[in-house]
Amino acid sequence: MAEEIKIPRRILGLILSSVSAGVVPRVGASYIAIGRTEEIASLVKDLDFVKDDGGCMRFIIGKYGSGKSFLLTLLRGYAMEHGFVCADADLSPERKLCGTNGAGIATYRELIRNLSVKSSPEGGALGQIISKWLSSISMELAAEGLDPESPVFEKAVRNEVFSFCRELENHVGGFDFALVLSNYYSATVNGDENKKSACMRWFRGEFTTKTQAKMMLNVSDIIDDENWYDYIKLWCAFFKKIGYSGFCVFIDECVNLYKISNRISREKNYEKLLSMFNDSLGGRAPGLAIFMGGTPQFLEDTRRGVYSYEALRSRLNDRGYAVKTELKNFMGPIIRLRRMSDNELLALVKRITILHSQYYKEEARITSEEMIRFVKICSDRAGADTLITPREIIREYISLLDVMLQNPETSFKDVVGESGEKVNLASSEADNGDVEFEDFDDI
Amino acid sequence: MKKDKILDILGDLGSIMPPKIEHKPKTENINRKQWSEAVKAPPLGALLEKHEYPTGLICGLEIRAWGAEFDFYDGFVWYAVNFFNENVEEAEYIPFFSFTPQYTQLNQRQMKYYLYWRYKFRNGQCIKTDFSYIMLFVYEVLNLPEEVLSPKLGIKYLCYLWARYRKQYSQLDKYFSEWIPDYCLIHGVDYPVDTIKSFLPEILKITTFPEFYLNKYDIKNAEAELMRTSSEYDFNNASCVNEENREIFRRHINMALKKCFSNREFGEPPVVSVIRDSYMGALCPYENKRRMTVSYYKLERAEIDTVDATEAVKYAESLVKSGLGLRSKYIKTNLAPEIKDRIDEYFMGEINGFKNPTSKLREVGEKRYEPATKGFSEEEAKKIELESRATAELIEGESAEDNKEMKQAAEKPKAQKKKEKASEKKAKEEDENRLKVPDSVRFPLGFIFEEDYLKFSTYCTIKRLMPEAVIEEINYFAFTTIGDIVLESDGENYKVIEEYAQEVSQWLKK
Repeated sequence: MAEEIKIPRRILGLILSSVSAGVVPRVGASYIAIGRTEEIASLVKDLDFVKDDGGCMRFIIGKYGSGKSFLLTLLRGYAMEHGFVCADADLSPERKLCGTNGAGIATYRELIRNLSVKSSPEGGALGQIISKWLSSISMELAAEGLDPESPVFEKAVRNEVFSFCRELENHVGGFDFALVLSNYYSATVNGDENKKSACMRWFRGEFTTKTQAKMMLNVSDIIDDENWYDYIKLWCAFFKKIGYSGFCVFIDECVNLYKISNRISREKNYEKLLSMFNDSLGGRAPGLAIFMGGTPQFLEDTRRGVYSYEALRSRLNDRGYAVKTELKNFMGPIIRLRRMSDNELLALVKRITILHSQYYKEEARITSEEMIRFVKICSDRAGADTLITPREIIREYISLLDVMLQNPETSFKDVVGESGEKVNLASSEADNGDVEFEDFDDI
Repeated sequence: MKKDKILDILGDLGSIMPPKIEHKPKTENINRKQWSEAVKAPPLGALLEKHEYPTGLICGLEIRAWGAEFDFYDGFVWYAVNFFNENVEEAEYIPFFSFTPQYTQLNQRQMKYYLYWRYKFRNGQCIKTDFSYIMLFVYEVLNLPEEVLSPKLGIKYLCYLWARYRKQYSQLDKYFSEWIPDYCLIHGVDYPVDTIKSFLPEILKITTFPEFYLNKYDIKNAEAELMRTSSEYDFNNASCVNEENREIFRRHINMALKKCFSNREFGEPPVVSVIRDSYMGALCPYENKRRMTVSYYKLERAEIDTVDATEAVKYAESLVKSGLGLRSKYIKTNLAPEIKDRIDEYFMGEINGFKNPTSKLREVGEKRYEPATKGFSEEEAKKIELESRATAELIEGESAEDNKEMKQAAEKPKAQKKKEKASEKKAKEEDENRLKVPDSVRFPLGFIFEEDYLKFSTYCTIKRLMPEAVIEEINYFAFTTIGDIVLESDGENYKVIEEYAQEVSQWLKK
């Protein structure tokens, strides 16, 4: 094989299956990352700053298919590699920053469910993080000479937990948080699975009434729609204290905030966004990095977007040199993603070819000219500049490689047709009534 | 007296309120006889003023004195001047009714309340009152000499009074729509547009002199503005209309309407001369009454069906929105095809020059999302590929570093590559031999590999470690060694991922 990339086989399989399904792989995104050098460098700098007790909030803004989610995933990979705890969630009509009927807490639950660290990159790391920390306390006490079998050991650990958490008490909910941590430790030591599970439910914000929480864990507060963001800050402080570099929160599909039809509800969400912005950049949440992905109209629409909320508009509006002169600026709170250029698409196709060959251990029968031809066919389609995205191109390309692999007698020309008429891009056939496309017309 | 009850008819009108004036101390009363001698009426029917206006709809104006004497309202102006700065005390509301309200008809308590209400109104507060009190104040303003009440303040009082009380006393529209033009023409002042613009379309429907209110527009726009009054829909209230684009909406909707409903294809409207007797129906002594000859472009009063006009305005508005790049929901229209075609025709002609004031900025904004370059270049793609590997190296750390070496290797000649590959293989084997698996990983991993969870649990208990923490340590080791985790939960227990069974068994041997 001409060229190989060192990549764990399982991750390679995950990457190919994810991109062929049109989704961003949760692990190994860096292996298919093409371009975005300056954007990544800028975001990486942010994380270095956060590591030194700073805070940041960035809006990754780009059109449909420009690679917002991909960049967020890439950054998540970097953050985990560098000792950050990461949490990610996609907003949806059911998951907002603020809302009645549990729309706010649903976002928190999703974030905590997807909590990930280097050793648990696919989410669900909450249990591991807490256990690791409690174990380290136990080990430290044991190293100090306290007998783990003695009855005072558990009490000592509990005291240690409380004294550790005392510093968190200036945060909202710090006391209850410490109490639940302590309960979790006792339940683990005593093998009380029910209590352990109740503690995890409390951490995940799954208690719906305070009575229930009081009854099961003897705590007076629960995490709900109103205070979930305070607990995110508390988690951040906790992660920093137990030795992680910081806490990165990735929130994608922010266009769902723009789509909230009720003005009051929408503005409440923007208010929450404002408090996040003020906290992270104002030094009130050291170690917290928030990255939000959204479309241009989520940000710039002056009727319903972020810019409709004056306090945010005045903070984020970059109608200065960068706009008037089209010069790039990656240092502000907004990072605008350009669509991939033809050459970037070509480089991506080449990378996919290498990975495909590597996974199936058989070199793809496709030449460089044919790769160019394929990308050209895709980008020459009517409306390709707005409708066809790297997602569609890669899906179609992998399908082409699969067909050629399984049918050794066929050539590139046989599969795509004389003039590429057999290339079947999903978006070019899409109904023009697609909501997202309509929205872009609105910008 | 109880706290003043402020009428809130039109909401916040703070911005259009007349300037507050301080109550001046009462001046000494002027003797009525002296007043009669001092104030001389102009000769009956005499030409007092003559004007020609080069712009606007009104072309010329002649103002003559009234042609006959009458004495019904003798003394009204004298009273008005004397009471202009009358002392004011807080007073209780007393009802008052008269067909032609005058000071002499007020009893003492009514007089006291009138003066109190007038004082409050002059200071921008509209407290409870009666229609007759209002009319008395209006007659006062219409008749006071310019030396006592400046016409600039007078017109502000009248328009503000109109705006504030017209919802409560709808008959005010009928009178004011005629008296305001008279007052402005006689005294040579402009009406405050902001104060009455919210109900101007309603006024245009009822006044006999709409040209006065539309005088600031050019003829085409004024005519269309008048046509638009037939519509029951006001585009000004649409959420998409703001101060930035209001003028664009107004201009294009008007022009589209003009295209639809105008019967006159060419030329300007005819100029007519109309005689207007001032302040018809108001209390006005002959000394103040005037006969005016006004020449103006008579706008076309098209007989437009309200339903058609409403639909046409809505349809035109949707086309303007679409032209501005705003979402337009009003796609279907019930307009008659010939009207719709005319509107379409107008917009087809205008669309090239149809620019949003912010469109240039928007175009620049759009460019920020466009690719930096276009076209294919293999060399460029290769460069991008190399740069991307550097980025991957930054993100993935060690494993990508290996890729970089791999990439460099790929570019070397085959023979050299083969040689290096062999030596690399050897080095790799040596590396693997050197790889030390710590006991804290090897033992628990061995239990999990053999799926002996009891032993794993016992190990954790003995070591006073939590199972999750042990799993974390194993996966962390795996991640830093092979770039991936090796243990995955199946819901109940952790298991070794099948793809890495071989690697794990090798680790366990070490």
